[in-house]
Amino acid sequence: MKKYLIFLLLPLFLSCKKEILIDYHEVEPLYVAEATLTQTGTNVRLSTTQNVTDNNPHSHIVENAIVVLSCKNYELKDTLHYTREGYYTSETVGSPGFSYDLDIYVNDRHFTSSSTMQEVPVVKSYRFVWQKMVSTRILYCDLRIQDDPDRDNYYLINFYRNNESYRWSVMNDVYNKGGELQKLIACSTERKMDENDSDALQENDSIRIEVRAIDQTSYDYFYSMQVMKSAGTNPLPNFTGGCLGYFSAYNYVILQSIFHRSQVEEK
Amino acid sequence: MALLPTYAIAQVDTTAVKEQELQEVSVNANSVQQRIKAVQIGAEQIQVKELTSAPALFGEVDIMRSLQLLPGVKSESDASSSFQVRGGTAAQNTILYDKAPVYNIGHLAGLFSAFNDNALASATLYKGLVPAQYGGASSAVLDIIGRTGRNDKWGGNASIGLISAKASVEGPIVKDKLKMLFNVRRSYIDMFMKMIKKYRDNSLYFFDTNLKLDWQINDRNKLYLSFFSSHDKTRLNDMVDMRWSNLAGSLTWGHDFRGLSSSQTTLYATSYQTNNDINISGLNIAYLGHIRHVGLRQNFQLMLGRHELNIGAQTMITDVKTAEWTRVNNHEKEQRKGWDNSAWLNWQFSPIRQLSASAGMRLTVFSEKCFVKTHVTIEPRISLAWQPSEWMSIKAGYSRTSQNIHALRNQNTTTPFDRYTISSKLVKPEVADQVSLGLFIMTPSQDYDFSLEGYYRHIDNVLDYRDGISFSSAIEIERLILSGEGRGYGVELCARKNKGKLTGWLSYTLSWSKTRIDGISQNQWYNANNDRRHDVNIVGRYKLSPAWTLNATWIFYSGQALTAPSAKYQMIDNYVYYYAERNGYRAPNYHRLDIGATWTKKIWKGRLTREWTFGIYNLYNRYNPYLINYEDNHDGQGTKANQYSLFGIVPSVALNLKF
Repeated sequence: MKKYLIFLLLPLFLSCKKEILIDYHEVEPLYVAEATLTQTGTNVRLSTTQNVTDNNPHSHIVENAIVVLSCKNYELKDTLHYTREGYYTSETVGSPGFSYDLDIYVNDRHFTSSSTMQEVPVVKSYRFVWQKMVSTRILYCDLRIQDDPDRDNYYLINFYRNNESYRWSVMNDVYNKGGELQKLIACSTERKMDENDSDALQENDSIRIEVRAIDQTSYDYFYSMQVMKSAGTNPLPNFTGGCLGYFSAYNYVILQSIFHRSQVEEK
Repeated sequence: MALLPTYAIAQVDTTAVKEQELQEVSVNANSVQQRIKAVQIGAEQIQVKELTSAPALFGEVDIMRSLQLLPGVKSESDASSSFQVRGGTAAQNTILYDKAPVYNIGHLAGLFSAFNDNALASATLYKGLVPAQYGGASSAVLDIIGRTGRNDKWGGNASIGLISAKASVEGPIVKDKLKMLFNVRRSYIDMFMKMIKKYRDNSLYFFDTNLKLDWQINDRNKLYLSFFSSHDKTRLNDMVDMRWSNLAGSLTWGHDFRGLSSSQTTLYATSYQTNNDINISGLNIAYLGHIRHVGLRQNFQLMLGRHELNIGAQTMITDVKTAEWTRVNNHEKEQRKGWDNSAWLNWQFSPIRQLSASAGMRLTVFSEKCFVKTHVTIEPRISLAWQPSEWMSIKAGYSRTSQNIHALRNQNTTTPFDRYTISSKLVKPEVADQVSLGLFIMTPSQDYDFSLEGYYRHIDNVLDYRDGISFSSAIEIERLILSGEGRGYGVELCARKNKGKLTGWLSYTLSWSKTRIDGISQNQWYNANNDRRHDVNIVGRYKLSPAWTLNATWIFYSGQALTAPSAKYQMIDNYVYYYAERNGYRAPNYHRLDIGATWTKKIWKGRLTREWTFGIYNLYNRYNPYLINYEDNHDGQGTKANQYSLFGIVPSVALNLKF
């Protein structure tokens, strides 16, 4: 919540923003895995880190890995197929309550991670609302999820605008267990929208919101990624062996709409 | 002999306190001599009059911002009136207001300190080397003495600046027996906001008040009652309501024995409280916290020929609410209590004329509630001053200090969201050892004096957040933190011009500050958040005429330690940065020039003094770094580092009437 306050209060005091040059240090590339197991299949994207000044994201994919998905619950052992651009895929789908292990073997390195598949999240509603702030208004996406009281629940919300990632956030149910969970996603100020700022939502933008029900290990990873900007730290390791990234087995729902400013509700 | 409030004296300098009695606080030649002669190394005394040497931000004269101009003292940021000393953080300092500890003394999120200059007599800053009478801080102790009222007649002043107005009244309630001083200051930004429709539902407000009563019971006994309160409120519509406050009260009985010996007994109570509410579209979250103390302090100052002994003890009950959160339907609270007892003996003597020494020992016993865990710290202190001639001295010192109230913060600056805790079974007291060596020289005319001091400081049990944690990740503070060690070393140079139309000083600090905590930065030493190599301050005051006084300050800081990415990668369709080293980079240099002018004229046959103060903060409108963040396009085409600045050029004017 502190980041909201910074977002709200800084414009009152800050007088100038300018780009500065930093002589970034270079480090040896590290392996990065983004591995997901959902109700529709398994996807692993394997790459390496790139230097800060390196602007080519396509030259860091890893093509020579062996990626194995396994599940002790029903003796699953599935070696994923390399498809393209660092992606390893399988048609194996996850079952709620089952724990899955992922092993990645690449250039004499071995990385492992585990995750437990969650139930499909129940989204009650979402809408856009205005919130007055000093001399302007802030546009929020107000998302409501019905929590399941029988277990601890964790969620990741991915907000896409015109098929590009726009905002993301995590939450858990500790503050209203079994009740209606509310997530507010700050989009932009009304002033920025009026100025057609590239970061502001615009009329007829296509909106896609992906709500994932994730396990606690994945939540801890994403939560640490959420606070890293203010803390200047890396996300907590999710893989053993020094690989960056995460493996998450989750169920998800997708919400889609077209943004119309006239449909934004007053708080 | 009239009793002096000797509870303020310590070892450094009695001049300020005498001057407090005389109502004539000024920098004079004695200050120079005392810088040479005083046995305590690493102590800086500030007279309130000296504050006018520095131009003021928004016309607000601020003791804390003036302190930041001294060698070895650093500001946290443009937005902060808190200060850091010799590699320590602001949270490792203890600030005493008439012997009562106060916390987060900033108004408007730290922009100004809560100390009204009208209410202050003097302040002494101990930069880590402190006499045994002081404790509770692993970095520095700032001992602020409130001013007592006039004895000769009733008077006061009223002033109005860009953002606040203040007034005071002082005088004898009973001639030669009871006198008082009452100060009040209030910002009025919120009043202007109410007049403008679009800002009507917002508030930026602060208020502080000081009261001091001084009762001369008889020739040997005196009572002082001091009260200080400050309140801040920042409200943005009905979304955000941030409030924090400080209350401090102390009652001191000073007793004069035959000869020059005296006793000071102080009963005090303080409360620092935060209350932050956020309400966005029906989502309500409240964060509360407090630090409360009730304490009794007794010090005997015994003057035995060439020996001065300070013997005393203190007992203090501490109540810290590390957090109380109401988030939707969930309510959590963590509150801890501790009992802090200490005793001290400090012996100051001069075995030969050229040599003076101060040696002491402080014993601190801190128990968490019901003696769950008791921490005992033995803190030796020693200072030596060798003065081969009247114009020169060489000083050396060693000091061990400890701290049992710990602050945790993600950021460099003090905010109402900082969490505090006390030493416990898992959290050990911070213990700092510091050695210092200095050379002090003045010219025979005392027009100029120069100092060169070096120091090395090591601290155990410093706390920091674990990776991937924020202040609200868990109510149990032990789940959030890691502990380790820190070290700082450096050299401080200062040249002062004390006489003539032009007075002022030039100070330079070369310093290093590092931290090592298992679990952070591969368990290696890394630059502390507040590490920066060079600090230069030039402060000048020019008496142009009896009416006009001009002043100027130029400040230069080399780049502050900064954490920047060393690589990047894609994750959930975003670019994520990889930080290979904590604080391994440097922010751009910081510098600015502030100027001011004061025009003073007596009117109404001398019964009223009118004073106009004009100032320009950041004269050449430099945009200095306050916040730096990084961003990438969605396709990773170019990482940009953006610097945000707080203030450009800020002109100000204030009118002050004294009667």
